[in-house]
Amino acid sequence: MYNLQQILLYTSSIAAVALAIFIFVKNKKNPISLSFAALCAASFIWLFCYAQMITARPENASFWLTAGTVGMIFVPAFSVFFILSFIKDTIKKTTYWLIFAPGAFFALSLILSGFFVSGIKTAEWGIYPQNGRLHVFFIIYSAAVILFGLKRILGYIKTDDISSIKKHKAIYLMLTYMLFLVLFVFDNLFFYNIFNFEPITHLIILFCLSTSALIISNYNIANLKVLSIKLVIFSFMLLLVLFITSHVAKFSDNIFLSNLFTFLLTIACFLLYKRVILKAEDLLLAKNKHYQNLLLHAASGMAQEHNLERLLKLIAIIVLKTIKVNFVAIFLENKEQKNFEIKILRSFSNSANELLFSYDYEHPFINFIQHKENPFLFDEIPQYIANSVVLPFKVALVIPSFYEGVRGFMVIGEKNNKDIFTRDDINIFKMLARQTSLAMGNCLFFDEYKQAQEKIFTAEKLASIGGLAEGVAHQIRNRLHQFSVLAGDLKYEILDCAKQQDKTISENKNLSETFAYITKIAESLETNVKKTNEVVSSILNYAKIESKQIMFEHFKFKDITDLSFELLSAKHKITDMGSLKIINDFKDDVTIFAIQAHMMEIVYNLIDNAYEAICEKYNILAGDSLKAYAPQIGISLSKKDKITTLHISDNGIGIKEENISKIFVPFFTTKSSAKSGTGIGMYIVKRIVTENLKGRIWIESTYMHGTDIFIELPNI
Amino acid sequence: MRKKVLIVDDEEEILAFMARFLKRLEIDTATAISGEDAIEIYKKNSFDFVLLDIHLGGMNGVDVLKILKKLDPKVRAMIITGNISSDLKTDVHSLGVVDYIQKPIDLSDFKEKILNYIKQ
Repeated sequence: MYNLQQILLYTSSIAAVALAIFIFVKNKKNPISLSFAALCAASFIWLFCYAQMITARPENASFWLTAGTVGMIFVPAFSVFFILSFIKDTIKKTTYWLIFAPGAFFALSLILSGFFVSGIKTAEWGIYPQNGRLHVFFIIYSAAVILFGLKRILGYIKTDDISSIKKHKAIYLMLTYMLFLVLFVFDNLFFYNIFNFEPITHLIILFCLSTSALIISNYNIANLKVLSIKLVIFSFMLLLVLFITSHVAKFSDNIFLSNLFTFLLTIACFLLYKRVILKAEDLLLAKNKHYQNLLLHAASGMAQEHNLERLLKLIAIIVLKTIKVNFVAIFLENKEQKNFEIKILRSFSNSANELLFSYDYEHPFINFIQHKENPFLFDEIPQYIANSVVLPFKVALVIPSFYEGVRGFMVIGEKNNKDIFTRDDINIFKMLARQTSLAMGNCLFFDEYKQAQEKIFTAEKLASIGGLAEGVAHQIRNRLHQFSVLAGDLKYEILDCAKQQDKTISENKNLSETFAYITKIAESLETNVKKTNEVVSSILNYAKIESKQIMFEHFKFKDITDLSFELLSAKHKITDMGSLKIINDFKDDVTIFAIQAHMMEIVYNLIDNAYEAICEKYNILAGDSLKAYAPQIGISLSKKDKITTLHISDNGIGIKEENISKIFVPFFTTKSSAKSGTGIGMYIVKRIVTENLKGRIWIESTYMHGTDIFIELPNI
Repeated sequence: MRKKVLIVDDEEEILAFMARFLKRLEIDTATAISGEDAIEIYKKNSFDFVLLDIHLGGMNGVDVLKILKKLDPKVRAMIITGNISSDLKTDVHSLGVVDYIQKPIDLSDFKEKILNYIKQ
């Protein structure tokens, strides 16, 4: 026959030690572990020694009694000490004394005299201490000290700037120790001869230790509610089973039957326990389950949305409205700026919905998120990282979204009803995050698909325009040819006529004027035909470049520059100037890997512009400065770190500052209309450089001094 | 002795103008409005030079040139083209034209060229 008391006490004492070791191993550095260990130690001594005492022989009992009661005396003191450590209260020296000194006093009175415990009594269930005169004071002291601890923890709960989680933990702790106060006092009443039944209220200390351990080991606090209910129901059932079986065993002589009964009863209770637990969970978490279902439902609908912006807005609003949180913010990765910037911000109070905020790739918070793949509570972050997150709202939960690396994350504020996020919540969010990643991936794919389609469409359009341009250009050229021929015809007819009628015309002033004028018109027609032709040529060239097959090849840079200068001299018939100096700052045999047509277009256009700039300056200068003018065009090509820099410079007329930005605008030209040129050259060059060759181009120029054009091209 | 040039073009006005233009330069001309015409006329007369528009109705200018070369390997011609692309360049050079001129023609340029070639 076993002693219920003893078994309970033994198991409790071992459990106390196990808890202490568990907590200590998990949080070695935390000072709370020490205070908790102390409490566990005192509890262990109390429970273990009492276990020994209960079934000891009367002559041996007093040793165990003394030892155990000493342990019990210090339990209230250590529990308060534990509470104060938890709330990080600074414990003054006087407080220490007030808590522990009376305990020491009682302990001494127990050991040295009979005032605390007057003796032992033998009850039905075993040996127990008998109260002494001082014992009642001990009860008062325990109550006072625990009440003091509770008061402090109540004050802590009322402060404003602790997080929801900490608040909840403190509340649980307070409730636990309130229960402890009641049952501890009750337990001590067993010293008196009031009750006839066995004291099982020692178990209260085990309950306190378990809850405290859960609280300080950062176990997700949400489950504590459910867990404590489970614990209570379990303990109740266990006690019921043990109680019934022990009494049944007392009254039945048949061991087999009594064991069978125990067995059946255990199973029945177990099944009942399961039922009750489920029911309890449903009741407790009904509210949570409701919005969790809503979220799951919404998550499945997300895959339908193809527009990323709308998708994110949808998610934010859903989360905000179903869970009723303070705010929701969604951050998305911005690859160009190498940061995560806030895309959506929705708050319950509709304040600050427009917020510009971003975190760089190197920000500690971002680093932390990269390592955590699952949703996490803001309280789980180390303090220094939490401090670096500056948002206008208090953050409760962070949910990263993964799609080949962290693409973004959602930040959620506290629930409006100040409830905390449970484990179930976090699981639901995990699922939500996964759905979001898929949906986002979907959206991004659609975006890329749309862009690709647009590109194809543009290319097709250009190809058809290219073909069209050729046809149109051809037609226009034919008409221009007619114009040119007819204008020429006109001119020569007039000249012939003028020659033949020379005498008549020179005698008549009006007639000679008219003839001179008509001749001028005819010449002007010729010039205009030429100019129109040039416009057609530029556009045709541009269209050709776009629609031709692009072929990269190696070729000598010198070939391009030589050809450009050849074309230049052919176009301008370079004879009307002094010596133009051309400086080639590159090796003769240097090669580049690019599309020859593009490079030709670029170099020729730039050299042409340089030459014309020099011509314009030539026209403006006069006298000495004209004599001193030494026009030159410089071309340099340098390769460094996979980037090739082309630099074309001239000491021509330069560009006025207000015009520099307009240089690349199509059809903008500062050249007088009498000169050739349509203004489309630089536009074409810029497009080739930036779009086809993926480089960059910029200009530095000083009016009346010269111009430098720089082109940076990658990988040629 | 005055030189003689055959002008081939499918536009009448162009033919008329070219003829008058060359007349001022003291060059005699004959005109043909199509490739077939040109070949017929060339057979019956002798010419110092041929001015040929590439774009002709019916027979292509390049083909006309080939045939003329067969008839007279020493024939000297200059083609007028609306759109000089690189393959056309090689094509006609291999056929042995002395030069080409692009539409719309620059009359002073044309005058220079024709006087230059006709002298040789």
